[in-house]
Amino acid sequence: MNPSATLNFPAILAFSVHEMKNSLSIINEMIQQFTKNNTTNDNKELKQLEFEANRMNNNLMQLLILYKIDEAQFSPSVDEYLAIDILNEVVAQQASLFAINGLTLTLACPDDLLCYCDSSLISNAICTVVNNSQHYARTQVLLSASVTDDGYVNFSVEDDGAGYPKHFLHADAVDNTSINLNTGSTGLGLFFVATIAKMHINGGKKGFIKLSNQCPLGGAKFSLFLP
Amino acid sequence: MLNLKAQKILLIEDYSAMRMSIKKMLFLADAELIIEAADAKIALAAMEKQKFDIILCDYNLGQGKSGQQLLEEAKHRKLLPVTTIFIMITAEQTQSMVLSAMENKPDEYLTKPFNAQQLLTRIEKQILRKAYFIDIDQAIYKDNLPLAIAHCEKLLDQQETRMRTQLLKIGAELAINVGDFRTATHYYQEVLDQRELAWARLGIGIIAFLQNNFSDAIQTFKTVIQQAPMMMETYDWLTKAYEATEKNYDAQETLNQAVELSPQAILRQQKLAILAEQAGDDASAKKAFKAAIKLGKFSVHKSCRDFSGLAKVYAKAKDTNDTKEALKLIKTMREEFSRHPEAELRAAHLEIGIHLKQNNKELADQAYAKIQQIIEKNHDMPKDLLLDIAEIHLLYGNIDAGDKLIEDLIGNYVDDENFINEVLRRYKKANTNQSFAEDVFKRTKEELIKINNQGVNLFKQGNISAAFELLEAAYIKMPNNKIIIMNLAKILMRDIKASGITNDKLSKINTYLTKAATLGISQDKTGTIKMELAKLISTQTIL
Repeated sequence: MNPSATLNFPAILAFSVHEMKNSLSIINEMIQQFTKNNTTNDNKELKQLEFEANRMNNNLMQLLILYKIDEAQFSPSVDEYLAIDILNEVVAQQASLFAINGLTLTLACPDDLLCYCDSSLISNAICTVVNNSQHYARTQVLLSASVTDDGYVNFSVEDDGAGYPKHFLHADAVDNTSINLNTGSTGLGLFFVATIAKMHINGGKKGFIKLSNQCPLGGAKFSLFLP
Repeated sequence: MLNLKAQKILLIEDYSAMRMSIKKMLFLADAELIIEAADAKIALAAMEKQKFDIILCDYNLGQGKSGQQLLEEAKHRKLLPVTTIFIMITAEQTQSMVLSAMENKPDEYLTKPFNAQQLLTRIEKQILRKAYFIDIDQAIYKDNLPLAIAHCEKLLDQQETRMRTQLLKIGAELAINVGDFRTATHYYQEVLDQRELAWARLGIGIIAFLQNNFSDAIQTFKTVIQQAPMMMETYDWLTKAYEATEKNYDAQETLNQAVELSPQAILRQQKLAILAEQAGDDASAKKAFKAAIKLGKFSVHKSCRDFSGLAKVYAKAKDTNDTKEALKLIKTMREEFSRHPEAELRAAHLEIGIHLKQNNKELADQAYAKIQQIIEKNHDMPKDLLLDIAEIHLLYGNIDAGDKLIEDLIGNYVDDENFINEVLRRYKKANTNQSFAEDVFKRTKEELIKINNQGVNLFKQGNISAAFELLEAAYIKMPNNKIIIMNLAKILMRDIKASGITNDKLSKINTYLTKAATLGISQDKTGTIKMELAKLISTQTIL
């Protein structure tokens, strides 16, 4: 018998992710404790550690979801949410990291803006982008939500870094198929976010993302549009 | 800034390092009243003793009950006040775990890893939410639906756009429960005009189902499943709709799909097992009964029916190993359900079959003696078991006892077409060519029509008390008959409206309404009466 026939890969994957997530919980907690007890010293290593822990968590989550999408076992659970609740979730996840890095995270969102989406997916996706942006931002990141003239809800993440490299800005760079996974975490993150965006459909309209360097803060601007 | 100083918090987590970590997060908001529980048993004991404002519960609790089973039991035993915020914490994001964690609808669920700010933001959000809906929730908890509806309408009138969709959802569910399908449709349609949301479309399907418009309901449920395959309730409704149209194979297939997605839900496995059993699909029945037994180990829904069902499948097989397996299961069932008359009846009934097959008449006779002894003192048993026992009486030539049981069953379940057909079929088989069951069925139907017609006539003539007496006599004869119960409640309601409410009448009508609920009459059918009753109570003094 083929030995692989007895392996239930999804179960193994799920089990491993479960174990890793438990470990990550503890690691994150320890980082918080170290940070608190260690206010006088330069926290460069701790910064790096928390950043990497967050990235691992995001990657694990993306791995699972992309696996399910690939197996056609996944569809978003869409309901009505307040945009501000989704962004507050992102701020809650990222705030301590920004504090350690000495960066400012600003939130601009009307408190009655409603949007229709799978909220945990969307907040995870925005977290991925924000987590990356603080790697490139010099002093600040702006997180915002608004509604466009044609009825899309637009979530944006802007920073004051050097902006996206040119090949990212190419018209179809955000098409799932052409994102180059070799560009590292940013590439996989965007691939994930673009995939999630496309799964949000309303009538004939589909969600999408847009990257640009036309940003009032002078750096990169990521936009997610949900129909 | 959120302050948890006065909040009583129950923290349920088997992993002590994680417990410590969450406690530290709660301390950041000045939490002081934290009770810790390392497993579900300790947690439930704590919930029996006191009410908590916030319960944080890990899905994975090691040995024993899972977080989902804990929530299920707490809700079932009414250990969870409406004011309590229940947050389920999960580590995995696998579909079956997430779906399982959501089955009993915790207020919120949080995925590991999370930091203090994430936890506190969620708690704050839920505190605000609970506060907004508290009047509605309290009224629902006290089963005062008219009051809940009044509160809901009041909030809707405030035109708060941020809350509107959620209010429409609650309002529609309440309207359905009192049988006000027009308002419910209107509310769901308002949501759908804004956006095609799966739960609102499901609501439209449920309304069609409750109005016996089964083909529309089935069509709608199918659409919803395509649109939102993870919304497990839809499968349950589609199953019901298929059953109502006697498409039992489709019902079974639908549940098969559902347990594939969310295998942890015990009630669904039990339902699937019984459908498969009825269809004679032994392989599927075996699988589902096994799953139900496994899930039942720590569940409040653990049932001896699952053990006897599985044993029956084994006993049917010709293989001697299967017979051994059946006997082993019967033994386990007796151990798991000691001094449990239903389990003992099921065990003895199975034993008769097995012993007779092995030509061991003496042991079979002993088991039959046991059944006679138990059934004498315990009449109130599930209908499938009573039918089994009636069959055994007939087999032993104890025709009077068998016929008596059959007569009771037909009287009580005369409107349950599927079951009556089963009764008639098996009676014929057990008592060759005797038309007794069919005669009883015919007679009962005629009698019911007569009672109803007489009742309606008396009622029309204004002789309400005579109509009531007539139906009450029928109720004593057929205590589980749904039509009689409903008519009794309706007549009494008219009587109350006409001549005022007394404590005696109030307690009687409440008995009928409770009985209707235990017989599985859906809320929407009794809802109108409940509405009227509540309005009367609030305006009249009880004599």
